Amino acid sequence: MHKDLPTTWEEDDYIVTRTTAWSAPGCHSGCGIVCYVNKETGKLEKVEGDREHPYNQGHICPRCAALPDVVNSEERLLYPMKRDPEKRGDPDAWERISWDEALDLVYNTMTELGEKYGKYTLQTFCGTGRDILWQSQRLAYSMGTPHVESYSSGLACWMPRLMSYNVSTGGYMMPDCSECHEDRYDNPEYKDPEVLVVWGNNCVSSNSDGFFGQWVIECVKRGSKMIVIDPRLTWMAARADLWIQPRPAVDSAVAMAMLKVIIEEDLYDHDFVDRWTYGFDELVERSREYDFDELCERAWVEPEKIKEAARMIAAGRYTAVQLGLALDMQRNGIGAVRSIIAMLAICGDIDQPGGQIFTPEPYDFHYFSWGFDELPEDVQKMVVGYEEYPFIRMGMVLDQPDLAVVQAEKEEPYGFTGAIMMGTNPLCCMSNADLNRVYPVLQKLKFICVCDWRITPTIQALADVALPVAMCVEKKGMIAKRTGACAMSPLAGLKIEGEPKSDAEIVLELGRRFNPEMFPWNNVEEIYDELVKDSGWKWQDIRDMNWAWPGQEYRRYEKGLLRRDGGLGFNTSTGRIELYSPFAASIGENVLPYYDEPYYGPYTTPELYEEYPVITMTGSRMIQFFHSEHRDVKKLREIQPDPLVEINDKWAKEQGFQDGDWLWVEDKIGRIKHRAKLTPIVKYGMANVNSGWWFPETDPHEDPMYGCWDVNPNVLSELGQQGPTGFGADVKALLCKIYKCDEEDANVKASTAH
Amino acid sequence: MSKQALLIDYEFCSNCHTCEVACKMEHGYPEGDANGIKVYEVGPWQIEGDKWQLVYMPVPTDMCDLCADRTAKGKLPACVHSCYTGCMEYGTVEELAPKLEAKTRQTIFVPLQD
Repeated sequence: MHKDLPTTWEEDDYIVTRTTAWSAPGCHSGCGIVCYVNKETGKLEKVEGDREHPYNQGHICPRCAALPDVVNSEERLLYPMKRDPEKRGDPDAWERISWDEALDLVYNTMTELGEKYGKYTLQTFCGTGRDILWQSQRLAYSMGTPHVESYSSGLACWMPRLMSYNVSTGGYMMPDCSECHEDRYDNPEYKDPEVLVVWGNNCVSSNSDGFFGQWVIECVKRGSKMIVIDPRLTWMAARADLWIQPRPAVDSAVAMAMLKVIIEEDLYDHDFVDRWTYGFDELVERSREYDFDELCERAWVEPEKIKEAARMIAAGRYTAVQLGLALDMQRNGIGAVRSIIAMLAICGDIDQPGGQIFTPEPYDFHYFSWGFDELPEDVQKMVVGYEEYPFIRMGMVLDQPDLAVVQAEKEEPYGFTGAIMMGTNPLCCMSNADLNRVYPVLQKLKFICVCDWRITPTIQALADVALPVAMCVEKKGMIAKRTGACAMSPLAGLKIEGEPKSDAEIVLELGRRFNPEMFPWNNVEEIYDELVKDSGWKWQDIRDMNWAWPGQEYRRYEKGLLRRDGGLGFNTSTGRIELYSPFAASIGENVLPYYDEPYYGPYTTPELYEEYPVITMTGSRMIQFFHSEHRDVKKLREIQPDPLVEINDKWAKEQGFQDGDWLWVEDKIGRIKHRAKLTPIVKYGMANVNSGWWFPETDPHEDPMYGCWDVNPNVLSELGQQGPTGFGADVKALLCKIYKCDEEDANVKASTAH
Repeated sequence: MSKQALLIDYEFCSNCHTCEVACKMEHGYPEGDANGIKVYEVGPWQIEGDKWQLVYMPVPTDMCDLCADRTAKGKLPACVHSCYTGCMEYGTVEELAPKLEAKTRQTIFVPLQD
């Protein structure tokens, strides 16, 4: 079935190459693209969607359309640079060095710090959406430390969903929109979901977690009914068959209320429940602990809507749910996600065509925590939160950030001394938590090396070494997550400016200095050969084929295809979908789905709510920007030049605000400036601020953090309110007050030109 | 000869701006308003109850040449080729007009041409 398609060909003035856009710049997807390199100049001039590619079938977002402007940007970091740690923040103190010097400097400094203070005081930082997960993690392990950081409170990005799925069903899941079939919608086994629920994400803007939002649109065009659950009237919500607009961060109330309807109206699949689930009686008992009307009242949703949604979900043959980041970004998100999984499970939607399907890494590709097992056991146990939050050990092993920041502050039992950062700009994003605490903690590090493709606020303010990273069109690499494996290589005919190296190359060079046994490979190709060895192919084979889709069978639990022991059932301790989790019981966690309130809110902290009466969301994605990237790409920046706070139009008019006013958004720990956007898409008394902003046009002599402190909601979000499992944090339900900036304040480092 | 046209299914434009960026890259236009296509927002307002008006509409401008260089080689216009939701089609008025019967919330643009 695999099409024999050329990888490179000539066309008029161009050498054309078919490849995959992952990454840098950052992206959660990895779409198929066709790139046009000018034969004479060697420059990348145009990028189109690859219509043959099974992942995106030719559809792309504006970031890929603008990729040539990123690759050819004058802002690129072209050579390794070093700076005296005494001169952090000084843009004139950078000195160009060779790669050999840079790698030796990083290796020698980290080794000295390890010898002096302990290897366990070393860290790597990983961001997201770039080819840096196994890289940053294996690099840490090669240094002899278990500390991989993402200072994102409650690890509130994908991890809570991953953990919830692992606990309940034994593997990560996504909606079946045919993405696991190379022939997509034409696959004879595939059926469109009858009902698709988009819960807590605007997936046509975010395209996150390896799920391409366009798939939902295609399913809707083909007849799927769509339910959207979102506190904002997104474009998807506006054309949904049913839109539920809950109060932010109480999705656990919505989910529990729906579950009650399905159970009490007897809408579930008795046969599936009997044969394949564990703990149904306990689930029924749990649901009886809550009053339906009270749940709806707390969620600020009309009971009839919840009933209608629950009935649609139960009636759908089959129903699938695209679960988003908002479920992670609430301290009780795990309670919500487990309710949602329970709902799908008892309705028999798991592992069915057009239902919720397992999407493991293709060919057992070690996307994360590769090599963690090679650390000595006592070192493994040094992962921050290992004892306090046993869920940490399931899935991707990262330090629990709220505890890790406290440890770094107090230096108990020890502090941290040196860090290598990949694919992250933690001053602007992925901190999700009190910049006022994260920045000093980073400042305390005696050595910081950051790998990136341009000078970011993190590099300018904090780095001692900056290493230039190659773009997706300049490197050998591979993305293999959820659906298929796609290999990429430098575009034919491309003239690469400067000396960028891929993140994988940097890690190989450093890793084999730290621990040659963990990096026995001669080049990046050999690493990928190892990573995809289960496929029977090598990296070059997959590059020659352009991609490899392993394909997917349905009802694998009936065929003994889900468990490593080959037995029937699911990959859980009971072999069934665990509505009640014996594992959670064994570690003293909440064993069943549950509802609870956020840490701060109208019901938990009414006095605080009176003083800060605007429930403020953050983190909604803008398709033209990837997290803190792309603010320097003019054709993308002009789509939205400034950070905007969406405020309810009726409420805003009462306050005397007008579109475009600079407003302060202030909570009990800080305040930021955004421009007003009056709109009915958020409820009265609610607001939504942007994340990830900084202003690349700022003169770094004036502000080495390029204005991020003025506008970034990391200033508002607080550490230490993680959920009971160590996962989840209420960063999308901040209690704020909003008022106008006076004239002087309004003179922000924002793009006043607009 | 029948005129060349763009069919827009404005039920499904998600306001991603890919068409605008693709147009600029294809024609070498710099940043700024001047471009061959521009996306407009109509809404949001509440019509009644759960019914909301919120659609996006890509509109070709007088700078749109329907990617004559591309279509001469049998390719699609840049905007149509890469459209994120696939809400645009290219063809002649004769080919596209009957498609308007198939569903609501569609329109056909016939940009300036010789």
